[in-house]
This record gives sequence, C-alpha cells and structure tokens, in this order.
Amino acid sequence: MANQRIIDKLIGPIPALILSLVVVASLLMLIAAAQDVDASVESYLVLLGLNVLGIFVLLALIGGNLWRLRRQWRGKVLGSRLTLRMIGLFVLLVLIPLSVVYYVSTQFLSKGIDSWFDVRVDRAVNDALLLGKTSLETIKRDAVDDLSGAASRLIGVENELSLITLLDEVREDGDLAELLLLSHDGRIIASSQKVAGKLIPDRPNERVLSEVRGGGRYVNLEPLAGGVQQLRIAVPVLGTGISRPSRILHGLKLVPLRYSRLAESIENASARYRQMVFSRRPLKFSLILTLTVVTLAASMLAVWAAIYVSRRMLSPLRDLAEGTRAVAAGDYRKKLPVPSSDELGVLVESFNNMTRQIHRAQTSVKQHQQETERQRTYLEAILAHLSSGVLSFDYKNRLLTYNAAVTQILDYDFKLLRKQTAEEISGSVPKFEPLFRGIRDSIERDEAEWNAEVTIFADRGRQVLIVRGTRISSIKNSGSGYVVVFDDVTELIQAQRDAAWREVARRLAHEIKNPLTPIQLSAERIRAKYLNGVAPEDRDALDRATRTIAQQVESMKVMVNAFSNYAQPSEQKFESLALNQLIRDVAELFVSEAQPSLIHFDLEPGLPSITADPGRLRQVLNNLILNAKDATSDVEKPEIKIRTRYIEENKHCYVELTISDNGYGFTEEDQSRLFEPYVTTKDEKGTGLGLAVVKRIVEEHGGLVWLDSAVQAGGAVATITLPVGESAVNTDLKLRRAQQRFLSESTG
Amino acid sequence: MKCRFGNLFAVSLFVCGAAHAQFVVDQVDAIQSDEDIRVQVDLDLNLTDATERALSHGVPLIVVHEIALNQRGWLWSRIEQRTSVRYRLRYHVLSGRYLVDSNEAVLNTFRSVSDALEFIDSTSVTFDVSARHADHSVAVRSRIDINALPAPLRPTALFSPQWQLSSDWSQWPINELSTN
Repeated sequence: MANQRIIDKLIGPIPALILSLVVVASLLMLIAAAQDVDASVESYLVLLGLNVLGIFVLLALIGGNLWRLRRQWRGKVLGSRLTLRMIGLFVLLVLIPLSVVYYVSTQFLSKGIDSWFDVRVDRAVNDALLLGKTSLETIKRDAVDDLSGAASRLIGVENELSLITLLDEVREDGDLAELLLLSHDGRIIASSQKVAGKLIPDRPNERVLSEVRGGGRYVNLEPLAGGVQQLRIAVPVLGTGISRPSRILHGLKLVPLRYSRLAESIENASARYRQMVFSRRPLKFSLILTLTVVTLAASMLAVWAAIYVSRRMLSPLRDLAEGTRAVAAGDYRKKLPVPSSDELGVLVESFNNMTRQIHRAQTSVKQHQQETERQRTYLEAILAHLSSGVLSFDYKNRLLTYNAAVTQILDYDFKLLRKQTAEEISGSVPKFEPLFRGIRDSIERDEAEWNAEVTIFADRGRQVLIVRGTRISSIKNSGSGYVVVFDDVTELIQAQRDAAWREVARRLAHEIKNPLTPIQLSAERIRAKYLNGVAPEDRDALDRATRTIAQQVESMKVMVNAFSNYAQPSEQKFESLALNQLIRDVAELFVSEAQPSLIHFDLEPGLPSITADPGRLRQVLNNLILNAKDATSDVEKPEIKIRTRYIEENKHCYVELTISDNGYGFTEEDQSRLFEPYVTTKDEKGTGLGLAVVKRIVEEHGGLVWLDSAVQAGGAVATITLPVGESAVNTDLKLRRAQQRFLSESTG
Repeated sequence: MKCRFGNLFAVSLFVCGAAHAQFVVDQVDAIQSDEDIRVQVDLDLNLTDATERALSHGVPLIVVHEIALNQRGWLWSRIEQRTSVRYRLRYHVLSGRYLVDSNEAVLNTFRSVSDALEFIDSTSVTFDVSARHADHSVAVRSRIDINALPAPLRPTALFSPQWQLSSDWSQWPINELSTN
C-alpha cells in the first residue's frame, strides 16, 4: 500500500509538471544549440541526452499510467473503460495534428534546404570560380612568359656582377618579389630581392626543381597569410654547352592586391557554398533530429497530459459510478468528495443529498420494520402460547398461518396444508371437512364476524369445536383475509355434563332418599296394623301392596345410594399398590365353577407398583369386569381378557390395563357417551353409572380411560392408563388444575 | 609501432595508441634539461573518406595536438602542465593547394593532403620545469576539434564513426637517469 502511494506520487502531476518544464527548457536549448555556431558539441550532446532521457521518463510515466489503467480495466473498475476511451480520443486528437505538423515540417525543412542549392546559384559560383581561375591562369601565363623572356636574356651570362645586375633589372621589370638563379642541381648562383635584408631566399623545393630540370616550366599560385597571394615561377635557363649546363630561374611574384582580394573573395564564397553543399545532408539530419526529438517530447507530454486530464476529468464520474454501485448494494452512507463548484460538483452534491435522504428513509423503514417485526414476534409468541387454535386465510381463501394449538387440538401437521384453500383442505383431510366447510361458507358469505359450533370425528374421537371467524382487511396488501379462532370444548362440555349429572344425582339422593324411610315405615305400619283387621278377602291384596311398597322403596334406596356414590366426592387413601395382585383378587370373585375359564390373564411380570386407592381401584375393576361379564352373558363361549403392560413414553412411565371381551360391544354413536351417567347398553339391568364412576375414579388417579371396539373379537376393549410412582397424585392435581384453568378460560 | 628514446633520455612506452585509430601517436622524444623539457611528438595522421571529402568541400579541419606533462603521484598522476598545438587544414580551391596554419600564424601550402598531414604530424613543445624529476611523464593525444566544425556538421560528426579521429591518450614516462 505504501509502495503504491509512493508510485502514485511519483507518477503524479507535480513530478510530471516539473519534468515537462525541464523537457521544454531543454528542448528550447537544444533548438538554440542546433543553430548556435558557438555552442559546443558537448552541450548539444548533453541537451540531446537530457531530452532523450526526458522522453524516456515521460514514456515510463505514460507506461505506468497505462499499466494502471489496464489493471483497472481488467479489474472492471468503474470508469476505466471511459477513461481509456477518452485517453484514446485525446491521444488521437493530439497525435494526428502533431504527426501532420511533423511531416509538413520535415518536408518543409528538406525542401527549404534543397532550395538553397539552386542550379543557377551553383553554376554562378562555379563560373565565378572558373573566372577567377582563368584570370589567375592569365596572370600566371603572363608571369611565366615574362620570366621565360628574362631567362633567355640570361643565357650565356656567366659574370656574377652582370648576373646580379641583370637579375635586378629583370625583377624590377617583372615586379617580382624575389628572383633566384639556381644551378642545375639547385644551388643558388645569384639572387635579387625586393625586400632588402632578407637573409634566406625562398628556395623552391625539389619537386619544382625536378619539374624544371625536365625542361618544363613551373608556375603556381601560393596563398599567403593576410589574403596575399604570390606566384611561384620557375623556368629553365638554357645552357650554352657541356661546360655551361642549363640553369633555373626562380621567381616569386605577388599577385596584384586587387586581384588577390577578388580571388580571396571568390575563394571564400566558393568555400562557403561548397561547405553548405556538403553540409546539406548533415544539416537536414541535424534539424530533423532536433525536430524529431521536439516532436517526440511534445507528443509524450501531450499523451501524458491527455492521460492526466482524462483521469482528472473522469474522476468525479468514476466516484459517482462507484457511489451508484454502493447505493445499489445498499450502502446509503456513501459520501463523495465534491471536486469543484462546476456542473460536476453540483451533480456530486445532488448525489450526496440523494443518498442522505435515501439513508434517512431507509433508516426509518428499518425502524418500522423492526417495530413490525417485534410486534409480529410478540403476536406469534402469544399465538404460539394460546390454547385456542388460530388460523389465518388470505383473500383467496388460502391458509396462511396457523399456531401450535391448531396442531395440538386437531392432532394434525398443517405444514402440508399451507397455501391450500379451505375447500382443498376439506378434500385433503375429510375428517376436518365440517370445520373447513364452515370456514369456507362463512368466508364466501363475506361475514364480518361469525360463530359456529362444529363437531368433528378425528383420531381422538368426537371433538366439539367452538369456531369464531373475523374478517380482517389488508393481509399483505392483497385484500381482505380471515382469522379463525377455535377451541376444543369437548372436555368442557363433558365436564359440564358430568357436573350437571353429579348435581342431579346429589339432588336425587337428597330429595328422594329422605322420604323413602317414612314411606317404608308407613307401609310396614299399615301392614302391621291393618293386615289382621281387614276382611280376609282384602288381606291378601293389602299384604301384596305393602310388600311391593317395601320392595320398591328398598330398590329405590339402592339406586339412590348409587347416585350418592357417584355424586359425592369420596375420601381417597393412596398407597403403593401391586396392580396385578389387585386384578387377580377382584377377578377371582367372578370365576365360578360354571365358567372356570371365563377370564384370561396376560399380566406383565415385574409390573412396578402404582400409587392408588385400593378400594376405589377395586370398584373400577369390579365395574369393568362386571360390564364385560354382562356383555358376554349371551355369548356361547364368553371370554374376558385382562392385560397389563408397563410403558415408557416421552419420559412418562405408566401402566396400561386392558379389559376386553367378546360380547356385543357398542355402536360408534354410543362410544363418545358411554362414560356419561344413565348411558347404558344393558337395557333395564344397569343404572348407567358404572362407567361414569370408572371414569371419575381413573381421572382422580391421574389416569385415562377409553373404550374401543374389539376389532377381531367383536366386543369392547376398555383401556386404562395409570401413572407409576408418586407422580400419580401430583399428576392428578395437575390435571385437576388444568381442567379448572381450561374451564375458566373457556367460560371466560 | 616503434617507441624510440632520445640518446640522453629513456622513455618507456606504456600505450602506443590503438592500431585501428586514424590518429596515432607514433613516437615521443623528450629532452630534459634543468630548466625545461623539450618534447618532440611524431604522429601518424590519416583522414577518413568523410573528413577528406569535407576538406575538399571547403570545410576547414582543426587538428589539435594535446600534450601534457604529468607528475606521478601517490595514487594517480597529476597534470603539471598542459599545452596544445592547433593546426588549421583547409583546401584552397583557386590554387588547388592545401593550406596549413598554426598557432604561429604561418601559412604553409601543400600540393596534396598527405603533404599537409606530413607537415602536421610532427610538433614540438617545451615545458618549463624548475628541476629534473624522475617521475615525469608525457601524455599526448591528437584529435579533430568537432566544435570547430560548421554547426550543421557537428551532430553528424558527433554520431559518425568517420569523424571519430581522436587518438587515445598516450603516456610516455621519462626515465630519471636521463641527463643532458
């Protein structure tokens, strides 16, 4: 991260700006150095190197920027494509004109330099040179002719004084600066000099001498310092015999000053022109090299500037795009830096305002959602702990929600029935058809509130449900829905019925039992007082009447005592009890010689003892076995089976007692009412209180009792479950309290 | 390459120049007295085609002989005195002769460029010294002064090997046993 920051700073605008200034300055100096005569080649080299280095540094900067952009483009960073596109556009906009300018400039330079060397100028220079040469040749020819003439005058002159005199004369006539007469081997014989005091004469070199020795004439123009030119002339002086060999006359003649200056001028102009001709290509190379470096540096600067400007310009847009993405991802706290006060700045400021407002709105919505969620959770908790079943339906009559009590009351998992209409549920689960048909009818009638009592026959048997429906509006914003609340009042009704019956029994016992004794006593007194006093023919009638009264009163007493036993709570004495032994003791009473194999035992050995009142439990066994025996009285092979089992279920331990017979059994309609008082299947034989007493005693012991039809034998099966151990009493108490709470909730 | 010593001095050759160079220091003679050291330098100078062509096109060439008297120090040599001799070689088109002028402002004319170079390739300088020293050495280099070329020619001369006529520095140590 730190390295990246350093790199960002290095390729940032300030170093690039400094570099640009350096490059521009060195470019200007390079251009100046290319044109400055006095500039040293070292400075040119340094400037050139500096510019090339600057170009490379700019290239590195551009490369770094492009590499970063490429990485961003590959990483799909927002704005990278747009930045690349804009950079490409800028680069094209810069490079195309620069290329055009470069091409035109090179052509202009090349053509411009070429135009300096016009053929006519070239010819004029050459002509001038030729003219100069011709003039000089004329002067040279005249000079050599003059000296040849003088040489002829020296033929045969041997006298030294004459020679000197003649040489002086010839030198003065020919306006020579110096005149030497040399022997054949180059030795100076005589000399004449214009400048007095010159000690050493200018002796020609061996090449000149050898040329003259061969009979030729030598003349050449020799430039001297100060623009002065002289002619060096050497001619042979013919000898007159073997003893007088030929000699050499050597003269130096200054070219007239006027000619010298003209010749110098021509020479200089010609030299300069030839220099220019020679420098044409190097000049082009030099200027085009400078132009290339300048163009390259300018291009690099322009490209870098394009990159920088593009990045700078698109930075707010990139920030905006990132901000938009953040908002799309749900981050409404994103704040963008405001780049400037221009239109982009206004746009970014507006974006910030928008996100701020959205953030506020979102926070408010979240708070509402949380509140709603809290209320929903609260409501769900209430519904979950509500003992009433609660169902909710949408406007299409489809089941939306249900609480735990629904499953508990109806003993059915409604998870699979969600989103089904009441009608579909009726079809799927026929046993709930009365309930959901009622719901469907009420919803279809669009009743605001309705109540109904529905009886269903489910796995638990007959259940009476009190159903209340309420129309509610706007369930999930999709129209009206319904909430249906129902309670299972089967046990409540049963309890009410039991209580009513117990009240009846108590009143009967109280109202009827009291007059029975006076009636019986009165009948006996009538019989004792008037039996002997009445006529013999009436005595028999009186005797039968009083006896009948006494018998019926006795019978009524028995019935009233039975009612009394049912109605009045008895004192219970709980103790640890071995159920199997109690069963054998009670069953023993029903075994007779006529029916020795009437009862079959299937008692689980090692059955744990239970906590119970032996007397009351004996009454239970007695009633059930008696009912079974009565039910099988008309059967050819009567059979009663008594079975005990120890069962552990959901951490609850209890014993299960089953007494089954192969008697006439009971109808399905009677099943739910068999435990009610005065409900019997024995015609006149029973009081109808046996099973009611059984149910009451079993419930007092915290147990359950129910009757089923024996599927195979065709009789009835009575099943009793009793809790094991001390929990029996507590369970009984809990059960009572639960019943009381239920009753109070139901009635409340 | 031959390294010759004067009859009174012994000069040891360390570096006699590169074999492929156009300018080569051929030999150095030194005559040391109590007051001065007279150094005679002989070089082998040859122009390349480009430089000769430039010369014939009127471009004057400045040939610089740089001669330094070094005194050997503990770690490295120290330049005690330094001098240079500049020759200006040009072609006179009207006369068809090559002209050489030097520091002495004496104009010398030659029929050919080889004659002119032959004139240039030997020079002598004198260094004033206070006393004889055994640890003196003479360093010689000859080169064409590119800075003296016409401005348009300089970049080309800078990058073209045809113009790289500079010889290497040649060190010529002077034996202390030498006496005048």
